[in-house]
Amino acid sequence: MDTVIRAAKGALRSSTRTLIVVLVLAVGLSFALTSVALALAAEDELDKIRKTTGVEASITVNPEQFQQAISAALEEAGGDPSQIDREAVDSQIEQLTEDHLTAIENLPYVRSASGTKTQPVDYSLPGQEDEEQATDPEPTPNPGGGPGVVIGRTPPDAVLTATDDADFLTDFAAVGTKQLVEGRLFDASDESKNVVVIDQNTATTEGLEVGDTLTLKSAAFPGEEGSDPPEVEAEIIGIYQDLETGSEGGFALNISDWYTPLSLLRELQGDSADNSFDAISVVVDTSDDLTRLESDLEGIADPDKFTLQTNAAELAQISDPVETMRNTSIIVMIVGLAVVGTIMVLLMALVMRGRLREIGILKAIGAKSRQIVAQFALETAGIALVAVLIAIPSVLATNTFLPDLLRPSAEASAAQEQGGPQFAGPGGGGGFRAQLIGGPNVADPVRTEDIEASLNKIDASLSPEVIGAAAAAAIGLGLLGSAVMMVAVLRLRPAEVLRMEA
Amino acid sequence: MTEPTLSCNGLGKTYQTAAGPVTALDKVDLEIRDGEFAAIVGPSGSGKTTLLSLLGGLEKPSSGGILIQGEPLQRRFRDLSDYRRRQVGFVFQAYNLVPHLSAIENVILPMELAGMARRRRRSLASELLTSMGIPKERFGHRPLRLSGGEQQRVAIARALANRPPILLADEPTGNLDEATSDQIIALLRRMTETSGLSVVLVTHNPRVAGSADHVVRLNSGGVESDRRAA
Repeated sequence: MDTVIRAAKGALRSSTRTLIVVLVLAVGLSFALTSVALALAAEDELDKIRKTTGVEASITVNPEQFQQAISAALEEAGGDPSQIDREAVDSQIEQLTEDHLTAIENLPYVRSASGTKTQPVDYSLPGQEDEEQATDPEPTPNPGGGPGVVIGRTPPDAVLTATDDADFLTDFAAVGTKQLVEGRLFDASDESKNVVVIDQNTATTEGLEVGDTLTLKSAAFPGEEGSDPPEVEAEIIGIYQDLETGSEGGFALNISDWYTPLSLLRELQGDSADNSFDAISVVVDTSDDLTRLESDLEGIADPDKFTLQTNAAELAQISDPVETMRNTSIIVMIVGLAVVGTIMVLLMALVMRGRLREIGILKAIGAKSRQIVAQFALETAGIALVAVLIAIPSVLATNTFLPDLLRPSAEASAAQEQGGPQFAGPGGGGGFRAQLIGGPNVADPVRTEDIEASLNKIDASLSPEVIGAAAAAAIGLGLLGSAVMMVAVLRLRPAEVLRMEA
Repeated sequence: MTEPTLSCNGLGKTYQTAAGPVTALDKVDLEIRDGEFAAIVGPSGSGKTTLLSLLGGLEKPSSGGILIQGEPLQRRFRDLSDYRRRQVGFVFQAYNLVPHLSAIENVILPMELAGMARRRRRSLASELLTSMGIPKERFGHRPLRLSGGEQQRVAIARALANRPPILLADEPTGNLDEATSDQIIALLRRMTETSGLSVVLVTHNPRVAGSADHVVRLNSGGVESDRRAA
């Protein structure tokens, strides 16, 4: 207690000087604390990003498989496409299967996985006969891996995308290109039900609403020759608007994109159902798991026959500016603490020069070195603590200034990411080559506002961790000051300083 | 015959400097008896202050040893700070009071370091200051507000705070006028007579040296003469 009182008296021996020291420290600490808060917030945001962005991957059949099979079949057919043996082509293509899906689902870091399959369909309304096709030649397989479109016949009315988990329909995600305007997407409760989500254009043209039914029939890959593909009556449970093309769904030729549970698609395929998928979509725990996924897939499927597509570019687009902000904050923090530490040491050295006599007196009247060091350490720690107590409300009062200064421009980040070299995905050597081509479950480049939203989440709020860092800084600075004292006390020869004139 | 309160045998001190070793004190033998008023005199550079620093445990000797009532200093006090706190009191020419503490707080300081109870040390400090002739209303004043004589009295009170048997004073009247100087010497003299305190002071002042029981003259780091009053 006596030491504490002596330390307090020592600190207050010159109120003006002490005040200046405290203020200088408080300013330095404010910068350091804000930077600590920002760095922690940025790290937290990065963690969230790693768990939510770039955690999706899609495995598809390598288009080269189709190209090779078609080339071989074409050669076999003497260069006449109409003579291509479709069964021979199919037999050469290795598809994604339920076995692949199960193996992927069993990987420990895989949060969820789902297979998707597409199928061209024609539809008819209740009481209306389906229009007969003018001709019915053999369909030509799509080299892109999708369903075949029959050359020389009327295009299908729609292409069904089927999956067991509508969460994987990234078109309908918050930043997706499609938005429900009526009804809902299918979910687990719709399993084995014949439900469908259709586009707004068809709904308007046909006067369809949620709750209406229509009859679907496979438009390509019919079953056995001579047998009609099965017809399935499906209930419309949702109608969506395509945000990219206004109200129209689909792609060229105005073929609509519709969505159903996998069970409905299998029913449409009838006897030809092969339980294969066009793609398997995977969500892993964190983006760091993508590298493991790539490596593990080599044991599940032939890397030459399938392609892994990831959202790594999206991750990089969002996380890079956040990482930049975190790194800048850490640099500012280090510089801030270094400046404060240097000021502290210089001040203590300056104070020492003025207080050598006091240390000499204390030694001469029998103070032990540890008593002197404790007194000065408490004095320094007290000053640092007061500086921290001033710095904390200062940080709260000015916690937008430094974050705004350190926050990178979202526009610049987006432009840099999109203009810069494309991320090659995890790995890049042999095995699965992660690609960035826009597969069905790989999102488009991130919008500037999304990057901005991530950056704006990073603020200098004072969490218990930051308060803890402040306390650690105060203790550290106290120890730093004490170290200067310790050296002075241990080296001082009282006889020498006390001999001098005051 | 009782052992001397403080003595030294073959005491020497050599400083290592950039220009080479410098011997400040060489083979000094000395005895200070109980209640003795001793003066160390000699020209500048003769080693007076060095001798006092060694006797006060402010520095370690290069050779020889110091005995406390016949017992080697290092054996009796493993830590020199204990020796400085309990066995000796120091008074300096420049007073060396802690500037941001009041007169009474300066006196209390050694008691605080010795772990004395708060209430007891304040009453003892008051007693000491009163006995030194410091008016009560000056107890709370900081050193800069005290005269030179008052500061030196406070310094003596501080040196005696833990009731040491030996008081070492380095030119205690060097900064004082003649009248004040006489008062301080009279005060120290009275302390030796009333409390059995041994006083060893370094002085250039022949009048002060003339009033001492025991005068040791140093020259070039050695004892030139050592005589006691009859």
